[in-house]
Amino acid sequence: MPSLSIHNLNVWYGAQHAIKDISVDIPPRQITAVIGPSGCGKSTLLKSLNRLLDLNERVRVEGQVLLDGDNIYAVDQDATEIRTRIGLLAQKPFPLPMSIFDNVAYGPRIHGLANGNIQAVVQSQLESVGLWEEVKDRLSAPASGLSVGQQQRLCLARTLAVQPEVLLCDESTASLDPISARGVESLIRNIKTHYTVIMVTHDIDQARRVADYVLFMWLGELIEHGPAQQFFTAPAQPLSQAYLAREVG
Amino acid sequence: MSRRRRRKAEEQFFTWLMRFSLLGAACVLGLILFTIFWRGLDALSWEMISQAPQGGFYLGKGGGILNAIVGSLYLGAGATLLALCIAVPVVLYLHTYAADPRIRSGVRLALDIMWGIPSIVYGAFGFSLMVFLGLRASLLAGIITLALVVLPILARTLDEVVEMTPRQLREVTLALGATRFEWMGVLLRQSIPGLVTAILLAFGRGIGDAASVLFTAGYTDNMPQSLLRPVASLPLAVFFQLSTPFPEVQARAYASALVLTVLILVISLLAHLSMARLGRHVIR
Repeated sequence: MPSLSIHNLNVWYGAQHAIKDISVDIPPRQITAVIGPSGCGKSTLLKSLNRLLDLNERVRVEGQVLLDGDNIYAVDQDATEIRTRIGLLAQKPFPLPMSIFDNVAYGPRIHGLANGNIQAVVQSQLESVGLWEEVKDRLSAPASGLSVGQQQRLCLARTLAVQPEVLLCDESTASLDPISARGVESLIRNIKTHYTVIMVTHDIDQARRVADYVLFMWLGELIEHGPAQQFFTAPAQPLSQAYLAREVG
Repeated sequence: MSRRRRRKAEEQFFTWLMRFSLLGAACVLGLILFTIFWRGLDALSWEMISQAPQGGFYLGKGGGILNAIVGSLYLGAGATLLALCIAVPVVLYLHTYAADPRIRSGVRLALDIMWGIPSIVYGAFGFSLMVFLGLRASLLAGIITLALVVLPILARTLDEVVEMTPRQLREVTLALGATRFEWMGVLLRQSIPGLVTAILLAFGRGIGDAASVLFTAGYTDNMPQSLLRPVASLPLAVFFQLSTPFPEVQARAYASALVLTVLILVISLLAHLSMARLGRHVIR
């Protein structure tokens, strides 16, 4: 299982210091929830882990993110390779402009993972997110025709089809209706035996339900981190206590 | 007057103003269509669109404008294809690799200026280029000159469409480990309806432009035979027939204009009909 650890990570957007000297080890095969108020740098932290921050020209990153001991920001690292190993489930479901089938098949196709049996790969991924029965008769229909909840499950299948080792979830249930949100949430809970999951959420209750480990952030700083049980029952920092009591944030 | 009544009157006034403007625009289109149909329909015959001009055509004798119809289609299609080969890579590059926003705005400015240059200037430029290269007026020279005219139309229309692509689509595609080149492919799929619109606009402009082909493509009563020979075009056919003193030939000019208009109309309709199918995968 991959080890993911962050060492002295700093991120700037122009002059704005968005991530302030964060160091933490992410426990493998568990769900790590990143919580904190809006604008505290949760999403920035998440996007720094698969080098999606590279897309923003004004961003500057310092420090190290070690995946199995290799710094993903080292000059000889290929961002596309990193992103293959560290998948992302975005906040809003964004299918690719293709059919349902092609959405799931896209990743395996570009990475040559299907070994000539793309059909089976797509079916097993759609089954793993509970979408197969709903879409098996309209695989060539546009993915944009699915409901939002279905689209998010499709996006999960699409991400998992690349066979990542780590899954990043950026408030992945925030734009869904409550029932779909619970569905996606339990999917994420079920797959943690195979993946290291890092989930950004602003929903403390969700973090309580799913997290094994918690990072609590405040204004770009990592205030406290630890096993969820410990964090939610006896937070060490006054700021964490106040946040959990919903007095701040 | 109470405030409520004044606001209502204001709304009604502007609603009617907009309706009249709409009516005005529709009337202009209607009047143009009416004129060319009314004056051209009589002269329009099967012979007119199925034959090249025979001897004495411009004096009112037999033959038709098939040479100009085919010539215009070749010119329009050739120029659109050539411009497409430049516009698509340019636009995709601007939206994928060109990281510096100054490059983007610079290229856009250049294209906007190109769009504004009158086509007679392109004609003159194409002509001097031909002289320099020792080329004669030919289909090839016409296509190259016309490609310059339609390039900014294609590129800027496509650029606007690609610009509207949701930013997150790029993120999720690259997050799957796609290279920027692979992202281009996704972007192109997302932009297909816009690409079709751009091609249509460019082709419509290309097929109807007279000034740029006047010196460069020349004119001939023969059917197009080779890239290196002159070709006829519909706008010039209209021009030559309209400038004869004979009423029956002038009527044929309107018939030619009718053919040109119907051609563009049919192509627009076909593109419109194909849009629903082409755009069915687009993410909004």
